[in-house]
Amino acid sequence: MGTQKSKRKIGVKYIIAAIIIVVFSAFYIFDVVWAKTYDVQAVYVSDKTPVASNSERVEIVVRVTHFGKPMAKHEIFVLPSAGSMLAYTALTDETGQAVFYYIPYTASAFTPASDVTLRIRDQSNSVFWEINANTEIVLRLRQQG
Amino acid sequence: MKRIAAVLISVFFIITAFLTVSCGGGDSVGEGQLFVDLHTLMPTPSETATPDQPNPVNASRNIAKKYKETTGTEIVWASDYAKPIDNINNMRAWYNTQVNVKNCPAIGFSFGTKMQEDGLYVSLDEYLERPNPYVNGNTRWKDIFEDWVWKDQAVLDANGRIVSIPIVLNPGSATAIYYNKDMFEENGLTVPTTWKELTAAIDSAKGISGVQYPYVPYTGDVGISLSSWVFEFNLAPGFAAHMADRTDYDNDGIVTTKELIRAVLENKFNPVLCQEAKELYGLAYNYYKTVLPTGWESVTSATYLNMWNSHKVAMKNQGLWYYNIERGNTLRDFAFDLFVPPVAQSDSSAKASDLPSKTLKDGYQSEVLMAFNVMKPAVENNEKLLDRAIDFLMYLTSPEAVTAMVQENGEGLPAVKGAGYPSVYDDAGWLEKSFTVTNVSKWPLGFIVANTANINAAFAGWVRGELNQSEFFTKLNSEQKEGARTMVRNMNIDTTGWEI
Repeated sequence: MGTQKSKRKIGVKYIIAAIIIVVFSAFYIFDVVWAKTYDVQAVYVSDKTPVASNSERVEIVVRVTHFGKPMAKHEIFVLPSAGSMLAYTALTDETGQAVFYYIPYTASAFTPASDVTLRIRDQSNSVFWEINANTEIVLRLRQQG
Repeated sequence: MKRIAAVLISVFFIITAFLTVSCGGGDSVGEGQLFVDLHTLMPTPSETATPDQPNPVNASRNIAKKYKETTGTEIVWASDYAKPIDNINNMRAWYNTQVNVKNCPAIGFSFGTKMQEDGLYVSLDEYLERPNPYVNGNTRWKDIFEDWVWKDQAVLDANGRIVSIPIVLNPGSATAIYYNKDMFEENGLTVPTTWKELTAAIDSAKGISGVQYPYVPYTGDVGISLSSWVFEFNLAPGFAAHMADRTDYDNDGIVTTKELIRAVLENKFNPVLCQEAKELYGLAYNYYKTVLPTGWESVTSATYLNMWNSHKVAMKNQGLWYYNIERGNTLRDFAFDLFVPPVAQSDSSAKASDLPSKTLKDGYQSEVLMAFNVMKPAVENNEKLLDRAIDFLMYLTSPEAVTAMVQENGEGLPAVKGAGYPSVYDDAGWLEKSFTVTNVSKWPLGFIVANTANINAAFAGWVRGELNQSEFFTKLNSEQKEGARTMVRNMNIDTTGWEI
């Protein structure tokens, strides 16, 4: 009798755990699909082959749209693989655009000029999980004259 | 039986512990390697940029890689040995342990000369006369640095010997004050240029609706202390300069550590007799007692940031390295700008001098922020290791290497001529700002880490009402003199002609 009760209890636990997993998985799948409905694009890059110098600035305009509609007040984060950003995060305006400035590193014998990947992500599009719509661009840094 | 087992297990653990302490550290940095502490210039564990760490430190990693290719010497970083970077007390404890286990870095960082009384530093004067083979055409290593750094007390010990090699200078002032520009404009507040104007602006901001913390101190100034940056860089310089007619014994325009030790022992900094000291400590007391709001010490950085974003903070003191973080602060819905933290001058006290100001473009001579020592316990009786340490410092101070480190680090300016600075300072309009010339004289505290700690404890006690002014002055004077006497003894300072 007692064994049957405890088996039933374990069974209930498994069912609850399974429901939780299913619900969270559904949320996750929803966010993955939802993220794909956003379009994050670098619509303007002032120089795709900038000089590898800390005094250079590369202007990058990012646009976020959802079913073709510009999305305002979305927080965009840009992470360069090398060098830095004047600001790593910015909000989109009413046209769905945010402006960033990439600051290259100064090329030297220690760090020659090379390709830098800028990963761009929309930090405001997900509903349940942090599944961000994203894109990336590559800048080809060149050695100073 | 159990007892025997317990004894055997205990013996095993004791032997293991002994081997860990005596061999684990000592043998880990060996032949062909150089153990180096470059403070915040040391590489971060990961070289990949991540959202949590968008600026990994890679410059020194790449420099070390190239150095190994060139010379065969491998650099081992002190950060792998949990070297603390927060304050001198923790650093000193770490260095003591490393010396005891015979695993002291050959190149060390201790805020310039802050551990000079321990006799840990190698005098570098003779090496600076040699050519630096890593700089084209250089015949004298010393010449590649900005000239004024050799008078900085973070480079010279009390006997006037050069004991550290500077790499990073303050970006003009040590920090900047970030302010809510919209709030200033809406309420008719003007950017302060003197300490008195700053405290008046803080008072005015207190009256603005919604403002809870008009002014947030620098995040590094964590408690009531005279070792704070606000005391060193903003309150004390005008008072120290006012005393220069009595403390600059050789009249060369710079008051050295040795001259400060002499002045302390000649009773010139005793606040019972010295009006400058009395007024300066009074100003510091008022800063903690009335300028900063009650409970400021327990407010976390995250809470201050929330308050700043919700217009409850008017001004906050922070490093220049913070500029692009503030630019990327998407929760802020107001314009911000920066001003130079002002210095207390004659409008704060008749005992403080008015000091000249200059922009960086006009040749302002920034103080040394990061300088590196060659550590005697690591290199004594090991000529080869000493040569290797000097050689790596020469390699590190080539303009190309300094540019890479300084631009990536963002905390300050290069100490080497011709090296590049972090261009974000241009975006902040920082090179056009005027900075007060504060390098005439430092204000002395305890000279020795322990004495300074005791002075700070007494000062905090005074502010909290546990001591009265007279008790604080007595304690300060006795600790200061004890520290000065220890310096004379430990540094073998010649006191001929001193009236002590």
